[in-house]
Amino acid sequence: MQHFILKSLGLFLGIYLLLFSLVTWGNGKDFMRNTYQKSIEMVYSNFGNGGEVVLKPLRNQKHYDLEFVMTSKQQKNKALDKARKQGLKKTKITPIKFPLNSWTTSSMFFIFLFALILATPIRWKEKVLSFLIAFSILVLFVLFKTGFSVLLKFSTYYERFEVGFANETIIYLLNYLHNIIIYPYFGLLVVVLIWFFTCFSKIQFSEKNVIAKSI
Amino acid sequence: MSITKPPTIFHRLKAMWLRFSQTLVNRLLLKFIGLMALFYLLWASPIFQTTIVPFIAKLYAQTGSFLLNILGYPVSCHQDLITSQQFSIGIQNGCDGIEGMAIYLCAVAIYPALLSQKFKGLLWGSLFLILLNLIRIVSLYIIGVHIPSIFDVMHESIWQILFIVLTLAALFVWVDSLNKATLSKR
Repeated sequence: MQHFILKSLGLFLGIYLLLFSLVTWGNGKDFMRNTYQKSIEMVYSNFGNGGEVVLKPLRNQKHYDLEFVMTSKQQKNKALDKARKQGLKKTKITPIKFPLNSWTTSSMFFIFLFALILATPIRWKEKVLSFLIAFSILVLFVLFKTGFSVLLKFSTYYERFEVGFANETIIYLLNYLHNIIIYPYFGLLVVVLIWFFTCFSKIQFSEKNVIAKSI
Repeated sequence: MSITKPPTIFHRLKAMWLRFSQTLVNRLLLKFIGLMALFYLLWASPIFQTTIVPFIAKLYAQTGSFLLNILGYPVSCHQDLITSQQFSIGIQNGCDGIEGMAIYLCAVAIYPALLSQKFKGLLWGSLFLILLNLIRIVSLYIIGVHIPSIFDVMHESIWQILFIVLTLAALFVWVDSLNKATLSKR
Protein backbone atom coordinates (compact mmCIF):
# COMPACT_ATOMS: atom_id res chain seq x y z
CA MET A 1 0.00 0.00 0.00
CA GLN A 2 2.83 2.42 0.84
CA HIS A 3 4.25 1.69 -2.61
CA PHE A 4 0.86 2.60 -4.10
CA ILE A 5 0.78 5.89 -2.12
CA LEU A 6 4.33 6.78 -3.16
CA LYS A 7 3.59 5.91 -6.80
CA SER A 8 0.44 8.07 -6.81
CA LEU A 9 2.29 10.90 -5.07
CA GLY A 10 5.12 10.77 -7.60
CA LEU A 11 2.66 10.68 -10.48
CA PHE A 12 0.76 13.65 -9.08
CA LEU A 13 3.93 15.71 -8.58
CA GLY A 14 5.10 14.91 -12.10
CA ILE A 15 1.76 15.94 -13.63
CA TYR A 16 1.49 19.07 -11.48
CA LEU A 17 5.02 20.22 -12.33
CA LEU A 18 4.38 19.55 -16.03
CA LEU A 19 1.10 21.47 -16.02
CA PHE A 20 2.62 24.27 -13.96
CA SER A 21 5.56 24.58 -16.38
CA LEU A 22 3.23 24.57 -19.39
CA VAL A 23 1.04 27.24 -17.83
CA THR A 24 3.94 29.41 -16.62
CA TRP A 25 6.12 29.31 -19.73
CA GLY A 26 3.42 28.79 -22.35
CA ASN A 27 1.42 31.98 -21.73
CA GLY A 28 -1.17 29.87 -19.91
CA LYS A 29 -1.15 32.25 -16.95
CA ASP A 30 -2.27 35.12 -19.20
CA PHE A 31 -5.04 32.98 -20.66
CA MET A 32 -6.21 31.93 -17.20
CA ARG A 33 -6.05 35.51 -15.92
CA ASN A 34 -8.12 36.73 -18.88
CA THR A 35 -10.67 33.95 -18.36
CA TYR A 36 -10.92 34.83 -14.67
CA GLN A 37 -11.26 38.54 -15.48
CA LYS A 38 -14.01 37.94 -18.07
CA SER A 39 -15.92 35.51 -15.82
CA ILE A 40 -15.85 37.90 -12.86
CA GLU A 41 -16.91 40.85 -14.99
CA MET A 42 -19.70 38.79 -16.53
CA VAL A 43 -21.08 37.81 -13.12
CA TYR A 44 -20.27 40.86 -10.99
CA SER A 45 -20.10 43.87 -13.35
CA ASN A 46 -23.51 44.84 -11.94
CA PHE A 47 -23.26 43.98 -8.28
CA GLY A 48 -26.28 43.96 -5.98
CA ASN A 49 -28.39 47.12 -5.97
CA GLY A 50 -26.29 49.42 -8.16
CA GLY A 51 -22.69 48.34 -7.60
CA GLU A 52 -20.37 48.42 -10.60
CA VAL A 53 -17.20 46.34 -10.83
CA VAL A 54 -14.50 46.61 -13.49
CA LEU A 55 -11.27 44.60 -13.57
CA LYS A 56 -8.12 46.07 -15.07
CA PRO A 57 -4.93 44.17 -15.81
CA LEU A 58 -1.94 45.36 -13.78
CA ARG A 59 1.35 45.40 -15.66
CA ASN A 60 4.85 45.26 -14.15
CA GLN A 61 3.60 44.48 -10.65
CA LYS A 62 5.45 41.82 -8.70
CA HIS A 63 2.62 40.27 -6.70
CA TYR A 64 -0.60 41.39 -8.36
CA ASP A 65 -1.87 41.10 -11.92
CA LEU A 66 -5.43 42.44 -11.68
CA GLU A 67 -7.08 45.46 -10.11
CA PHE A 68 -10.69 45.72 -9.02
CA VAL A 69 -12.22 49.15 -9.60
CA MET A 70 -15.51 49.60 -7.75
CA THR A 71 -18.08 52.34 -8.12
CA SER A 72 -21.88 52.50 -7.83
CA LYS A 73 -24.82 54.17 -9.56
CA GLN A 74 -25.81 55.79 -6.25
CA GLN A 75 -22.29 57.23 -5.85
CA LYS A 76 -22.38 58.65 -9.40
CA ASN A 77 -25.89 60.09 -8.95
CA LYS A 78 -24.95 61.74 -5.64
CA ALA A 79 -21.82 63.26 -7.17
CA LEU A 80 -23.79 64.52 -10.22
CA ASP A 81 -26.51 66.06 -8.01
CA LYS A 82 -23.87 67.83 -5.94
CA ALA A 83 -22.13 69.08 -9.11
CA ARG A 84 -25.40 70.36 -10.61
CA LYS A 85 -26.16 72.30 -7.44
CA GLN A 86 -22.76 73.93 -7.80
CA GLY A 87 -23.51 74.72 -11.44
CA LEU A 88 -21.01 72.22 -12.83
CA LYS A 89 -21.65 69.84 -15.72
CA LYS A 90 -18.89 67.38 -14.88
CA THR A 91 -17.53 65.96 -11.65
CA LYS A 92 -15.08 63.40 -10.39
CA ILE A 93 -15.81 60.36 -8.26
CA THR A 94 -13.38 58.32 -6.23
CA PRO A 95 -13.68 54.58 -6.84
CA ILE A 96 -12.33 51.95 -4.48
CA LYS A 97 -9.51 49.91 -5.95
CA PHE A 98 -7.89 46.75 -4.71
CA PRO A 99 -5.25 44.57 -6.35
CA LEU A 100 -5.45 40.82 -6.70
CA ASN A 101 -3.21 37.93 -7.68
CA SER A 102 -5.32 35.84 -10.06
CA TRP A 103 -2.92 32.92 -9.81
CA THR A 104 -3.29 32.39 -6.04
CA THR A 105 -6.97 33.39 -6.09
CA SER A 106 -8.09 31.13 -8.89
CA SER A 107 -5.76 29.62 -11.51
CA MET A 108 -3.59 27.57 -9.14
CA PHE A 109 -6.66 25.73 -7.81
CA PHE A 110 -7.67 24.61 -11.30
CA ILE A 111 -4.17 23.31 -12.08
CA PHE A 112 -4.09 21.53 -8.72
CA LEU A 113 -7.51 19.96 -9.31
CA PHE A 114 -6.62 18.92 -12.85
CA ALA A 115 -3.37 17.29 -11.66
CA LEU A 116 -5.15 15.50 -8.79
CA ILE A 117 -7.79 14.03 -11.12
CA LEU A 118 -5.25 13.04 -13.78
CA ALA A 119 -3.14 11.29 -11.15
CA THR A 120 -6.11 9.42 -9.66
CA PRO A 121 -6.09 5.76 -10.73
CA ILE A 122 -9.59 5.63 -12.25
CA ARG A 123 -10.85 4.99 -15.81
CA TRP A 124 -10.56 7.84 -18.33
CA LYS A 125 -14.33 8.03 -18.73
CA GLU A 126 -14.66 8.50 -14.97
CA LYS A 127 -11.85 11.06 -14.97
CA VAL A 128 -13.66 13.16 -17.57
CA LEU A 129 -16.96 12.95 -15.71
CA SER A 130 -15.33 13.69 -12.35
CA PHE A 131 -13.44 16.60 -13.86
CA LEU A 132 -16.59 18.13 -15.31
CA ILE A 133 -18.40 17.95 -11.97
CA ALA A 134 -15.36 19.04 -9.93
CA PHE A 135 -14.56 21.87 -12.35
CA SER A 136 -18.13 23.23 -12.08
CA ILE A 137 -18.01 23.15 -8.26
CA LEU A 138 -14.61 24.87 -8.26
CA VAL A 139 -15.87 27.60 -10.62
CA LEU A 140 -18.73 28.23 -8.17
CA PHE A 141 -16.28 28.37 -5.26
CA VAL A 142 -14.00 30.88 -7.03
CA LEU A 143 -16.99 33.02 -8.00
CA PHE A 144 -18.32 32.86 -4.44
CA LYS A 145 -14.93 33.76 -2.97
CA THR A 146 -14.45 36.74 -5.27
CA GLY A 147 -18.06 37.86 -4.79
CA PHE A 148 -17.52 37.71 -1.04
CA SER A 149 -14.48 40.01 -1.31
CA VAL A 150 -16.44 42.45 -3.47
CA LEU A 151 -19.41 42.41 -1.09
CA LEU A 152 -17.12 43.08 1.87
CA LYS A 153 -15.48 46.04 0.08
CA PHE A 154 -18.84 47.52 -0.89
CA SER A 155 -20.15 47.07 2.65
CA THR A 156 -17.02 48.57 4.23
CA TYR A 157 -17.57 51.70 2.13
CA TYR A 158 -21.36 51.64 2.38
CA GLU A 159 -21.63 55.38 3.00
CA ARG A 160 -19.95 56.05 -0.32
CA PHE A 161 -21.57 53.33 -2.47
CA GLU A 162 -24.87 52.47 -0.74
CA VAL A 163 -24.33 48.87 -1.86
CA GLY A 164 -24.03 45.80 0.36
CA PHE A 165 -24.60 45.92 4.11
CA ALA A 166 -24.51 48.90 6.44
CA ASN A 167 -24.92 46.92 9.67
CA GLU A 168 -21.61 46.81 11.55
CA THR A 169 -22.21 43.36 13.02
CA ILE A 170 -22.81 41.91 9.56
CA ILE A 171 -19.68 43.65 8.25
CA TYR A 172 -17.70 42.20 11.18
CA LEU A 173 -19.00 38.70 10.37
CA LEU A 174 -18.26 39.17 6.65
CA ASN A 175 -14.74 40.27 7.52
CA TYR A 176 -14.29 37.32 9.87
CA LEU A 177 -15.31 34.80 7.18
CA HIS A 178 -13.34 36.67 4.54
CA ASN A 179 -10.17 36.25 6.61
CA ILE A 180 -10.71 32.50 6.38
CA ILE A 181 -11.64 32.02 2.72
CA ILE A 182 -9.12 34.47 1.31
CA TYR A 183 -6.08 32.34 2.22
CA PRO A 184 -4.84 30.11 -0.62
CA TYR A 185 -4.53 27.16 1.75
CA PHE A 186 -8.28 27.22 2.36
CA GLY A 187 -8.81 27.08 -1.41
CA LEU A 188 -6.44 24.12 -1.67
CA LEU A 189 -8.39 22.36 1.08
CA VAL A 190 -11.62 22.98 -0.86
CA VAL A 191 -10.01 21.46 -3.96
CA VAL A 192 -8.97 18.38 -1.96
CA LEU A 193 -12.52 18.00 -0.63
CA ILE A 194 -14.00 18.36 -4.13
CA TRP A 195 -11.55 15.71 -5.34
CA PHE A 196 -12.57 13.41 -2.46
CA PHE A 197 -16.27 13.77 -3.21
CA THR A 198 -15.93 13.33 -6.96
CA CYS A 199 -13.05 10.86 -7.36
CA PHE A 200 -12.06 9.00 -4.23
CA SER A 201 -14.89 6.48 -4.09
CA LYS A 202 -14.22 5.50 -7.74
CA ILE A 203 -10.66 4.35 -7.07
CA GLN A 204 -10.32 0.62 -7.62
CA PHE A 205 -8.06 -0.63 -4.85
CA SER A 206 -6.49 -4.06 -5.18
CA GLU A 207 -6.88 -6.72 -2.46
CA LYS A 208 -3.61 -5.58 -0.92
CA ASN A 209 -4.63 -1.97 -0.94
CA VAL A 210 -7.29 -2.13 1.70
CA ILE A 211 -7.49 1.60 2.40
CA ALA A 212 -10.84 1.97 0.65
CA LYS A 213 -12.33 -1.08 2.25
CA SER A 214 -11.54 0.19 5.68
CA ILE A 215 -12.93 3.66 4.93
CA MET B 1 -56.72 2.09 -10.30
CA SER B 2 -54.51 3.90 -7.83
CA ILE B 3 -52.84 7.15 -8.64
CA THR B 4 -49.48 7.73 -7.05
CA LYS B 5 -48.22 11.22 -6.58
CA PRO B 6 -44.92 11.98 -8.29
CA PRO B 7 -42.13 12.63 -5.74
CA THR B 8 -41.66 16.29 -4.89
CA ILE B 9 -38.29 18.03 -5.09
CA PHE B 10 -38.10 17.85 -1.29
CA HIS B 11 -38.55 14.05 -1.35
CA ARG B 12 -35.99 13.68 -4.11
CA LEU B 13 -33.46 15.80 -2.24
CA LYS B 14 -34.15 13.82 0.94
CA ALA B 15 -33.57 10.55 -0.92
CA MET B 16 -30.37 11.91 -2.44
CA TRP B 17 -29.15 13.04 0.97
CA LEU B 18 -29.95 9.63 2.50
CA ARG B 19 -28.08 7.84 -0.29
CA PHE B 20 -25.16 10.23 0.09
CA SER B 21 -24.95 9.99 3.87
CA GLN B 22 -25.19 6.18 3.89
CA THR B 23 -21.67 5.92 2.47
CA LEU B 24 -19.08 5.79 5.23
CA VAL B 25 -16.57 7.90 3.27
CA ASN B 26 -19.13 10.67 2.86
CA ARG B 27 -20.13 10.53 6.54
CA LEU B 28 -16.46 10.81 7.53
CA LEU B 29 -15.96 13.69 5.10
CA LEU B 30 -18.96 15.54 6.52
CA LYS B 31 -17.60 15.10 10.06
CA PHE B 32 -14.22 16.28 8.83
CA ILE B 33 -15.76 19.38 7.23
CA GLY B 34 -17.58 20.14 10.49
CA LEU B 35 -14.37 19.89 12.52
CA MET B 36 -12.42 21.97 9.99
CA ALA B 37 -15.15 24.62 10.07
CA LEU B 38 -14.77 24.79 13.85
CA PHE B 39 -11.00 24.99 13.49
CA TYR B 40 -11.21 27.85 10.98
CA LEU B 41 -13.66 29.78 13.17
CA LEU B 42 -11.20 29.46 16.04
CA TRP B 43 -8.17 30.15 13.83
CA ALA B 44 -9.62 33.42 12.51
CA SER B 45 -10.46 34.69 15.99
CA PRO B 46 -8.46 37.69 17.21
CA ILE B 47 -7.23 35.75 20.28
CA PHE B 48 -5.82 32.93 18.14
CA GLN B 49 -4.28 35.36 15.65
CA THR B 50 -2.64 37.52 18.31
CA THR B 51 -1.40 34.80 20.67
CA ILE B 52 -1.05 31.33 19.13
CA VAL B 53 -0.11 32.26 15.54
CA PRO B 54 2.76 34.61 16.53
CA PHE B 55 3.97 32.11 19.14
CA ILE B 56 4.16 29.26 16.61
CA ALA B 57 5.69 31.54 13.96
CA LYS B 58 8.36 32.63 16.45
CA LEU B 59 9.16 28.99 17.31
CA TYR B 60 9.55 28.14 13.61
CA ALA B 61 11.69 31.23 13.03
CA GLN B 62 13.95 30.34 15.99
CA THR B 63 14.32 26.68 14.95
CA GLY B 64 14.73 27.64 11.29
CA SER B 65 17.49 30.14 12.04
CA PHE B 66 19.20 27.57 14.31
CA LEU B 67 19.20 25.05 11.44
CA LEU B 68 20.39 27.65 8.93
CA ASN B 69 23.29 28.58 11.23
CA ILE B 70 24.27 24.90 11.39
CA LEU B 71 24.15 24.80 7.57
CA GLY B 72 26.55 27.75 7.41
CA TYR B 73 24.14 30.63 6.82
CA PRO B 74 24.76 33.37 9.40
CA VAL B 75 21.19 34.46 10.17
CA SER B 76 19.53 36.00 13.19
CA CYS B 77 15.96 35.72 14.42
CA HIS B 78 13.68 38.58 15.44
CA GLN B 79 10.11 37.55 16.36
CA ASP B 80 8.84 35.74 13.23
CA LEU B 81 11.67 36.98 10.98
CA ILE B 82 14.79 35.17 9.85
CA THR B 83 17.18 37.86 8.70
CA SER B 84 20.64 38.31 7.30
CA GLN B 85 22.32 40.90 5.11
CA GLN B 86 21.63 38.69 2.08
CA PHE B 87 17.96 37.82 2.52
CA SER B 88 15.09 37.90 5.02
CA ILE B 89 11.93 35.87 5.36
CA GLY B 90 8.97 36.21 7.69
CA ILE B 91 6.90 33.28 8.93
CA GLN B 92 3.39 34.54 8.29
CA ASN B 93 -0.11 33.07 8.18
CA GLY B 94 -0.09 30.12 5.79
CA CYS B 95 3.66 29.55 6.25
CA ASP B 96 3.32 28.36 9.83
CA GLY B 97 1.88 24.96 8.90
CA ILE B 98 -1.05 25.37 11.31
CA GLU B 99 -3.69 24.68 8.67
CA GLY B 100 -1.88 21.60 7.36
CA MET B 101 -1.55 20.33 10.91
CA ALA B 102 -5.26 20.99 11.52
CA ILE B 103 -6.22 18.99 8.42
CA TYR B 104 -4.16 16.05 9.67
CA LEU B 105 -5.36 16.27 13.28
CA CYS B 106 -9.05 16.61 12.33
CA ALA B 107 -8.81 13.66 9.93
CA VAL B 108 -7.15 11.45 12.57
CA ALA B 109 -9.71 12.57 15.17
CA ILE B 110 -12.74 11.54 13.08
CA TYR B 111 -11.29 8.32 11.67
CA PRO B 112 -12.61 5.17 13.37
CA ALA B 113 -9.58 3.83 15.24
CA LEU B 114 -8.48 2.94 18.76
CA LEU B 115 -7.36 5.80 20.99
CA SER B 116 -3.83 4.39 21.19
CA GLN B 117 -3.68 4.23 17.38
CA LYS B 118 -4.94 7.80 17.12
CA PHE B 119 -2.40 8.97 19.67
CA LYS B 120 0.39 7.27 17.72
CA GLY B 121 -0.90 8.80 14.48
CA LEU B 122 -1.10 12.27 16.02
CA LEU B 123 2.42 12.01 17.41
CA TRP B 124 4.17 10.76 14.27
CA GLY B 125 2.07 12.85 11.91
CA SER B 126 2.67 16.05 13.88
CA LEU B 127 6.41 15.39 14.01
CA PHE B 128 6.43 14.75 10.27
CA LEU B 129 4.53 17.96 9.48
CA ILE B 130 6.69 20.08 11.82
CA LEU B 131 9.81 18.67 10.16
CA LEU B 132 8.32 19.24 6.71
CA ASN B 133 7.56 22.87 7.55
CA LEU B 134 11.09 23.39 8.84
CA ILE B 135 12.44 21.95 5.56
CA ARG B 136 10.14 24.35 3.71
CA ILE B 137 11.36 27.38 5.68
CA VAL B 138 15.05 26.46 5.41
CA SER B 139 14.80 25.61 1.70
CA LEU B 140 12.91 28.83 0.94
CA TYR B 141 15.57 30.87 2.71
CA ILE B 142 18.35 29.10 0.78
CA ILE B 143 16.44 29.62 -2.50
CA GLY B 144 15.98 33.28 -1.59
CA VAL B 145 19.73 33.68 -1.11
CA HIS B 146 20.90 31.77 -4.19
CA ILE B 147 18.04 31.92 -6.74
CA PRO B 148 15.78 34.81 -5.62
CA SER B 149 14.07 34.85 -9.03
CA ILE B 150 12.26 31.57 -8.26
CA PHE B 151 11.45 32.34 -4.62
CA ASP B 152 7.83 33.39 -5.29
CA VAL B 153 7.19 30.37 -7.51
CA MET B 154 8.56 28.00 -4.88
CA HIS B 155 6.72 29.77 -2.07
CA GLU B 156 3.30 30.16 -3.70
CA SER B 157 3.02 27.40 -6.26
CA ILE B 158 5.28 24.52 -5.24
CA TRP B 159 5.60 24.36 -1.46
CA GLN B 160 1.93 25.06 -0.72
CA ILE B 161 0.85 22.23 -3.01
CA LEU B 162 3.61 19.95 -1.72
CA PHE B 163 2.59 20.61 1.87
CA ILE B 164 -1.08 19.77 1.44
CA VAL B 165 -0.34 16.71 -0.71
CA LEU B 166 2.25 15.39 1.75
CA THR B 167 -0.24 15.96 4.58
CA LEU B 168 -2.69 13.73 2.69
CA ALA B 169 0.05 11.17 2.04
CA ALA B 170 0.90 11.09 5.77
CA LEU B 171 -2.77 10.51 6.49
CA PHE B 172 -3.01 7.62 4.02
CA VAL B 173 0.15 6.05 5.45
CA TRP B 174 -1.41 6.19 8.93
CA VAL B 175 -4.67 4.62 7.69
CA ASP B 176 -2.60 1.93 5.98
CA SER B 177 -0.73 1.24 9.21
CA LEU B 178 -4.12 0.71 10.91
CA ASN B 179 -5.11 -1.81 8.25
CA LYS B 180 -1.81 -3.65 8.61
CA ALA B 181 -2.30 -3.85 12.37
CA THR B 182 -5.85 -5.20 11.86
CA LEU B 183 -4.67 -7.77 9.29
CA SER B 184 -1.79 -8.97 11.50
CA LYS B 185 -4.20 -9.46 14.44
CA ARG B 186 -6.40 -11.66 12.25
